[in-house]
Amino acid sequence: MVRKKLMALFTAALLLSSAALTGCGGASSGGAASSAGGGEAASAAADKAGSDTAGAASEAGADTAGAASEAAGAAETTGSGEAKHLNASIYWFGDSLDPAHDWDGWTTCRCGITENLVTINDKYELVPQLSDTWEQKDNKTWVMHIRDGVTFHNGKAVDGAAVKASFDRVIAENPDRAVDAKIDSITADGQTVTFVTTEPYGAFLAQITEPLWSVIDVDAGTDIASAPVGTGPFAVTDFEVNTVVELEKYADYWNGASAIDTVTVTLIEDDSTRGLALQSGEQDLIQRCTSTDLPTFQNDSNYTVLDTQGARIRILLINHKNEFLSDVNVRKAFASAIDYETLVSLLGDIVTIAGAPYPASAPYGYDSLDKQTFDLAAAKDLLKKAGYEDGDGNGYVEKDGKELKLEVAYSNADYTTTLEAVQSMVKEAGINLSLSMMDSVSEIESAGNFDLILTNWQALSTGDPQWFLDNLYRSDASNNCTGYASKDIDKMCNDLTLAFDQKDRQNIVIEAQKILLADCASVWLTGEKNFVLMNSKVKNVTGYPIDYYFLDNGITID
Amino acid sequence: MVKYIIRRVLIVIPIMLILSFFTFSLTFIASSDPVTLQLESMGVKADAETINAKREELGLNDPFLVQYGRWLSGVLQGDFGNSYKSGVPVMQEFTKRLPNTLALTASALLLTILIAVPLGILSAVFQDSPLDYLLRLISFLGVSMPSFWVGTLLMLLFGVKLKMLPIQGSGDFKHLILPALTLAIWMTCLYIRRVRGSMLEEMNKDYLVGGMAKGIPRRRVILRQVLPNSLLSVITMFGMSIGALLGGATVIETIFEWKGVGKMAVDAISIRDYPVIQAYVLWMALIYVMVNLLVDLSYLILDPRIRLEGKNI
Repeated sequence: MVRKKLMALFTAALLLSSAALTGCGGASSGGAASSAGGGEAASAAADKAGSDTAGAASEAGADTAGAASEAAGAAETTGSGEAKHLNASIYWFGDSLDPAHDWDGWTTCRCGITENLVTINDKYELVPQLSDTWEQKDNKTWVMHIRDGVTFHNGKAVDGAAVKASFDRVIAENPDRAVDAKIDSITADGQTVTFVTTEPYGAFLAQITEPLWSVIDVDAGTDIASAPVGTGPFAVTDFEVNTVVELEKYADYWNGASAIDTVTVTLIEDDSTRGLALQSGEQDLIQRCTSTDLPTFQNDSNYTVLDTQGARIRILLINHKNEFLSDVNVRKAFASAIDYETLVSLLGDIVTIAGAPYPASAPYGYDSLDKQTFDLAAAKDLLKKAGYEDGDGNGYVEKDGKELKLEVAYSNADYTTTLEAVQSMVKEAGINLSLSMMDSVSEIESAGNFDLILTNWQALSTGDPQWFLDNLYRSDASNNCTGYASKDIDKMCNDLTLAFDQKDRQNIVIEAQKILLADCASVWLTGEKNFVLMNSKVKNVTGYPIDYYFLDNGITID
Repeated sequence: MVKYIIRRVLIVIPIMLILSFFTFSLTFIASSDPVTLQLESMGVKADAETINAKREELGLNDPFLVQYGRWLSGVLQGDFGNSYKSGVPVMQEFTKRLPNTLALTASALLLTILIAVPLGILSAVFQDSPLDYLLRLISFLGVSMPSFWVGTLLMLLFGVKLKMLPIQGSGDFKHLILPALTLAIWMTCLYIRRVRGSMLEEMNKDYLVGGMAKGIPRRRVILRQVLPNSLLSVITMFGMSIGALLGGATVIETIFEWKGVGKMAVDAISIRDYPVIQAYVLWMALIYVMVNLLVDLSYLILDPRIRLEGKNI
């Protein structure tokens, strides 16, 4: 009898504790829920923003009339009285919203919270943002005028001193990354700020487009990690690490206030879940989805898919000190044995054919280059020329009794399909390729202990080509793990440093690509596309080649 | 018995020390570098100087024993260190996520108990009937289906098609339903089989026949004798399941963006965030030992044979 009661008590206790824990969990994470972008939370936020910002928006219409002309349709919808809310989702958050911390500026940039002095448009051209004009005094001195009428989200005017303070903070907080801009000194005078670089540096303007150099009010008195005060179209109202950023439009935005009153940007790391969230209506606008989900959205008129050629490229790094690959004919044979079109059709619409270091959408003469293309007969001829033949009839070529065996290392599981396809393609030419997946390829990279590595690089980091050349192909570059050395490329890297005219820089890069292709320095497999997907309510979204640009003041929602 | 409990609790300390040293050693000898992995996860290529400066800042260039000693002395003072990735104190992040994991575990267990126990009993009592075959088929299918796939199907049905429930997020009760259901489906199917098996084992014993021979109705013998006895073995299995679930249902937490400790651990492992990994290992050791202790103590209460032996403990 006692045992029965105890049994009943035990069961009841288990059930009660389960119920209590369930309630406890729900309550404790309720804060997260209210900001996590559920329908109720979103509409509540939108209601609040509607009443709070409508007045401010109308004032802004008068105050920033000049600037507003650049942004069509700004503040119109707020006049109707109905608050507009956008639910957007991205795949990566930093650990804070401090642009100076690691790469967290990418999030503030994606969310439209912060801006830079100069930015890049969808054609990789440098265009004014907070600085409307600039002048190069000499090969180390840049004088930049700060646009009149720009204010931080707290209403404080942006002047040279504020910009200098923001840059000084980045240099102090993140010296490891700040060093890339080669800034020696900064002086401010009214609406101008003067930068002196440590050496002549043609990529200086491109460098300061990096979100690291976002201009924020460092004296705002808010916690920069959770509520930076920037100049972008949206101001932070709430931030929960690795979960959500709540935004409201900045009514006095210099380029015309957004037509959207509030935005909830949610982190959804899983590509598939993010796609489902768009389908369920939880999200209106997302970055990226899986390649298998893509056709679902492309074939459904309820969704719009914006794809843009990205600046990221998948590269097979070749070890030039390898006994086989040190022969340019073997390298070229390997590159010619790959059927790039088949590879792209296999991977789906998420990639494009590369065949050259820089993407076709960039102004670096892609069409005029003698790119890496599929030609199996040429691959076989090149191997023959290098002295390789299939003497034992096993399907693989050998030279001096040694089979042409190579291993490709990689650390991203998504690359397996690509490499399995490449493996079967090069086999047709007689190359025995094996695959080796690793946690990280960094150790074999630094030891030079590899044949081939599949990796990806931003070929146009900050929209400029120099960083890629300097860091991967320059003979003394710290990331040049391949042993590739070319005096011509080294000279061109130096020339780029001293070239300030954009046309001159383009010409140098085109010539550099010709050398890299002639040497078959790497195999440039595929270019990656950036995808932005939205439901039919969202309009006027711009697709950017660099994916840390996402939300802007032009986006509208019905 | 008090001595027994104290002894069992104290044994946790050497277990945790050995485990923490073992885990620290394993992560240390892994060739991957936390700084590089973190940068790679963001698609960033940093130069060697940047990587080395970051390693220096995190103390990763120190010898193994210095790093372990520093970590251990911090733990003894209640400081589990800061995450390499976020710089946030590990315990702050851990305690923030723990309620989510507890809620998910409790909900999944509750659903499992409510569904699996009655269905398991029915399946055993009506052995080899159409109902038994149906339940066995369902439980076989349920156990065979991977959780991530079931989760995706539930998202499609309740989120996309019916638009009844949110498909992701760590929010209120509504956010909890789908991940809890996903976990519960697998657990329920597993426990239907276990309860059934355990019931059948007891039903084959002589006391059932004896009871019925005395004129006690079969239903009464089953409910009052067979069921309590068969649930004893199920409780052990429940204990292990609670441990596994409290460790975090990683896949479920990932696909539903449920911010629990399991997902935190996997993220930490993928970038070798040692302080977070260490805290997680200690947590796992603690819950396994404590849950096992509770299961053992429940036997003392539920099983008179053990209770009687317990007097000699």
